[in-house]
Amino acid sequence: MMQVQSALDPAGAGSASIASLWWFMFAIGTVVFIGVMVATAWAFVRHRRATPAAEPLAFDKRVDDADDKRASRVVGIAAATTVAILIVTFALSLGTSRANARLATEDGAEIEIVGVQWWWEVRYLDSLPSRVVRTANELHLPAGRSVRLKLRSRDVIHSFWAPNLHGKMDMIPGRENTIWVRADRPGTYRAQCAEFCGLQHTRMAMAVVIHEAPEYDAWLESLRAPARIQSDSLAIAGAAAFVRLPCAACHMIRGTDALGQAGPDLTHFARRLTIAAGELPNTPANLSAWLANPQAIKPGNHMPNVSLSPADLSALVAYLSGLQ
Amino acid sequence: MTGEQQAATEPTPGVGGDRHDPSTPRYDDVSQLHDTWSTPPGIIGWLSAVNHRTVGLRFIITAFVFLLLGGLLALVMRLQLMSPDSAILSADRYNQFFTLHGVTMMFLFAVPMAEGFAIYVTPLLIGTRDMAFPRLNAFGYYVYLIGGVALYVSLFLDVAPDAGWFNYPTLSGKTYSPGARIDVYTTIITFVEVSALVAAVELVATIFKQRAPGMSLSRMPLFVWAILITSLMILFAMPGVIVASVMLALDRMADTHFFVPSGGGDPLLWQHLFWWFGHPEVYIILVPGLGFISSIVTVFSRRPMFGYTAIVLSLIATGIISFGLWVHHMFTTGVPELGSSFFTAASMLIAIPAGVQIFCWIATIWGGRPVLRTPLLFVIGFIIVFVIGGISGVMVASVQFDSQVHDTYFVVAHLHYVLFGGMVFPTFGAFYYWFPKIVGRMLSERLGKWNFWLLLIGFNVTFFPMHQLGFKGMPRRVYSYDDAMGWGAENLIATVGSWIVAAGMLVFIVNVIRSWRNGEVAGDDPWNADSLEWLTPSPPPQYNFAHIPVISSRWPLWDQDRAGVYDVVSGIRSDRREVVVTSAIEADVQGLSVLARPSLTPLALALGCSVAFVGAIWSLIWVPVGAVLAYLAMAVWHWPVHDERTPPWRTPERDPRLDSTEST
Repeated sequence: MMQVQSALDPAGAGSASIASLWWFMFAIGTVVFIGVMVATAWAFVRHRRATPAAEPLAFDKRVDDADDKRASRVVGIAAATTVAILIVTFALSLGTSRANARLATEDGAEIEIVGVQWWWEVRYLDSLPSRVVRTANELHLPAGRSVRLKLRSRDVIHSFWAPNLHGKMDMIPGRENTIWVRADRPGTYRAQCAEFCGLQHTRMAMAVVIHEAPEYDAWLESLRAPARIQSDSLAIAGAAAFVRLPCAACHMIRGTDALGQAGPDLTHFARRLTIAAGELPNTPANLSAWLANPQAIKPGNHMPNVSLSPADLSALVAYLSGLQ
Repeated sequence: MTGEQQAATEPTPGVGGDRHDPSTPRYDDVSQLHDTWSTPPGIIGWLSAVNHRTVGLRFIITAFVFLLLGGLLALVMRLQLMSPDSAILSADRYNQFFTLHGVTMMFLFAVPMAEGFAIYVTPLLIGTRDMAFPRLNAFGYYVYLIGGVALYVSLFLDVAPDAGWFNYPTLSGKTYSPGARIDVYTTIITFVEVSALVAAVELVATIFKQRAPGMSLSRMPLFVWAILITSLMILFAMPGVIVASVMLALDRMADTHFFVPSGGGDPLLWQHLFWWFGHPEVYIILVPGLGFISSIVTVFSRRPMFGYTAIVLSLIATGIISFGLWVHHMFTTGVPELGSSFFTAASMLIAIPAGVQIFCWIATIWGGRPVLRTPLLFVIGFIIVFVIGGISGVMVASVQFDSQVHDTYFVVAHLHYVLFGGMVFPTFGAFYYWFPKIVGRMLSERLGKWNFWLLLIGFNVTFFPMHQLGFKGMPRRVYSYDDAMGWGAENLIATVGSWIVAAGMLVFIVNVIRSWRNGEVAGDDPWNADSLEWLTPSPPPQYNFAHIPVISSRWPLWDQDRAGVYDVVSGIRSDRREVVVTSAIEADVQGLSVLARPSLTPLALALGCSVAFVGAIWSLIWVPVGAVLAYLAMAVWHWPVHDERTPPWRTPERDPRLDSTEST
C-alpha cells in the first residue's frame, strides 16, 4: 500500500533539492575520508620499524628539520583545502535553503496539521470558514502546487516528517511553524512523528496521498460533505451505538449527534487507508480488533477499552466501514 | 602576619635531626614524606581519602562500571530492535532504557571518566603533590557516586526518567509526565553536575597555580592544555543545564510556568538552555580525548609533537566555537533562516581546528618512528571513526540536510561516530598508556590487539548501517517497527555488531584482571616517555615526587634527562602537606601552600546534600533536613586548624630555584 520511506527517493521539491545536496556532500566526504586515510597509512609505513615488546622504546632526538618543513607546507595546504571545502559546502547548503524557501507562493493552499499524542488532526483551511474541513491521520496533497503546512501541537512537541516529500518541522505547543511543500510525484507515502512525544511516539504515523491536482480538488470537495446516511440495518444500529456508547464523547461524525473533539474526526472514516494513526490497514477485521481492545494494539494510547457486546461491535464496524 | 613572626616559627632548613619533633619543621626529608601524605588506615581512612590519585582512580573505576551498565542497556535495546515487532521490552521500559543510556553515557561515563584521568594524571604531569582543594575533590566523587547509584536504583523502582536525556518540556512537564520519574531526572542531573563543576574548578586552580617551577604555559603538556580548556568549558556550560533543571523542577513542584505555554512560558526556552550546555558538553567529552591522543601520538611516534602551538590554538578555538553551535540541535524548531545560517557557519567552522589537529598528528607520525603498540592502534581507530563522524557532522550542520536526518538513525550513527570515536577509542588508548603508571604492571599487548580489533570492527558493524536507516526514515527513540518498513536487515546487522563490541569490552576486562595480578612489571618509565608522570615510580608514592623538578623544556624527560639528574626545588617542608605555588603564565615560584589533610567531612557533606536532593523527589521536607546536615558537615570541614603562628601558606625565605640542587 504505502511505499517504503526514503529521503533519497524524492516525490517532492524539498526532498529533491536536499537529496542533491546530500549526493554532493557524500562525494566530497568520500574524497576527504580517502585522502585522510591514505595520508595516515603513508605516515605509518614511512618509517615503520617492528619494535619487539621486550625491547625498550628508543627515543630518536633527531627531528629532521627538512621533514618538518615539508610537513608544515602539507599541513598548511590541507588546512586551506579544508576551509575551501567548507566554504563550498556552506554555499551549497545556503543555496538549498534558498531553493526551498522559494517554494512559498502568494496564493498557495493552507493545511493545518496539529500533533496530538499519538495522532494527527488535519484541517484543510479556506478563506470561507464554512469550507474548512477537519479530518485526521491522513494528508492529501495536490501534485505540482505549493502548499503551506501550518504545524501546531495540542500537547507536547511533535515533529511532522514525510521523508519523500520534504524535511521535517517541529510542532511546538504555543507556537506555529510553517513549511512550504510541493509534491511532484503522485502516490502514497508515509509521514511520521520524528520528535519523541511520549509512550507511543513509535506508533504515530500517517499516510500522505499525492493526487494529480484536479483529482485533489474533487477529493477535497467531497470531503466537505457530511457523513453518508446509511440504510443498512446493521449500520443503523451502529450509528445508534456510536452515540449511545462513549464513542461520541471524543469523536465527531459530521451530520450526526457525535460531536466529540478530543479524538480524530471520523466523518469519512472508511476512506482512510489506516486506522490508529498509521498503525493498521483499514480493514473491517482490523477495525474490529481495534475497537475491541485498542490498548492491546497501541498500549497506553488515549482511547480507552470500552467493553462492547458482540452485537455492538459488529454494528459499529459495519457503520464505520460505511462512512465513505 | 609579619615577616618577623614568620621567621620565628620557621627555623632554618635542614635543622631537625633524625627523630621528628613537631616544633621543629623539617625540610626535604624524603623519609618523612610518606607519613605526611599517606591516608589513615582502615575503613575510616578509606572513606576519608583525599589524595588525587585515590579519588582519580575511584572516578575511573566508577565511570567504567557506568560504561558497562549503559552498554548493557544498549545491548538490550539492540536486542529489542534486532527484528520487527519484538516484545523483549515494553514501550514504557524501552523509553526508560534509552533515557538512562543517554544520561549514563553523557553524565555518568564520559565526563567523569575524563575527569578521573585528569584528576589522576594532571598533578603528575605538572609536577605537584596533590590538587589545590583535595577535600573538594573527594566531595565531588561522593556526589557523583551517590547520584549515579540513585539513578540506577530508580530503574529498579520503576521510576527511572523516560523523556530522553534531553528531557524536553512540555512532555517532561507535570501534565504529561506525572509521577516521580522526571523529578528523578531534574534532581539527579543537577546533583551530578555539581560534581563536574567542582572538579573543573579544582583542575583550573591546580593547572594555573601548581605547575612545577619553569613549566610556563608554553611548556605545558598538550593533555594538560586539553584538560584546562575542558574545565573552563564546564564552568561556562554546566550552569545552563543546572538552571534549566531547577526551572523545570519549579514548574513541577511549585507550579511556575517557565516552560508551560498556557501560562505564558515557552518550551523552546528549555531547548536553548539545555543545548547551551549540551553542545559544549559534546566538546567537553571530546577535548580530553584529543588530549589523550596528543600524549599517545608523541610518545609512540618517538618524537616531539609537530605543531604544538597549532594544536593548543586549535583546542582554544574548539572551546570558544563550541559555545556558538547550540542552535544546530534546534534547526527543525522553526528558527529564522538568517539565525540558523549563523549556526551552520559556526558548526562548519569547528571542523577547522579538528582538522588541523588531525593533520598535526598525522605529520608527527609521518616524521617520527611510529611504534605500533596498543595505544597507537587506538589512535588509528580514533582517526578512522572520528573522521567519518566529523564528515557527517559537517553534513548535518546544513539546515536543509539536517531537516531530513535530524532525530533519525543517521544522527544516532553520527553522534556515536563522534563520541565513540572521539572519546571511547582515545580512552582505551589512555588505559593502555597509563595503566603501567597507575598499577605498576603492563596490560597484555596480545589481548590489547584483540580488544582493539573487536571494538573497531564491532563499532562500525553496529553504527555504519544506521546512516542508511536514517535515510529510510527510521526515527530515533522508537521501541519497535513494522516489518513492512524494510528496516530489518540494517537493524539485524547493527545488533550483531553490538555483540562484537561487547566481546571487545570483555577482552579488555579480562586483560585488566589478568594484568593487574600477573602483568609484566612496568618499572618507572616503560614507554621511555617525555612527560613528568614517568619520572616517579609506578604506581607513584603518596607524595608523587620525592623532589619537585624544575622544568626547562616542553618534553622534560627527553630534553632534560642527563642520566637521571634534574634540577629540583628545595626548602619544601616534609612534615606538612606543602605544595609549590607558581605564577599562572610563567610558573615562577610564588610561595608554598599547605593542603588539607584527609577527612570524613567531604563524605558527610555529600550525604547531607544527597538527603536534600534525592529526598526532594518524594518530599520537600528533606530539603531543610539535608541542609542542616550539610551545614554541620561544612562547619566541621572548615573548623580552623591553622593559627597565626602556623599559617597554611609560606613565602619561601629565598627563591627555591636559586637553591636548586642536582639530585638523582
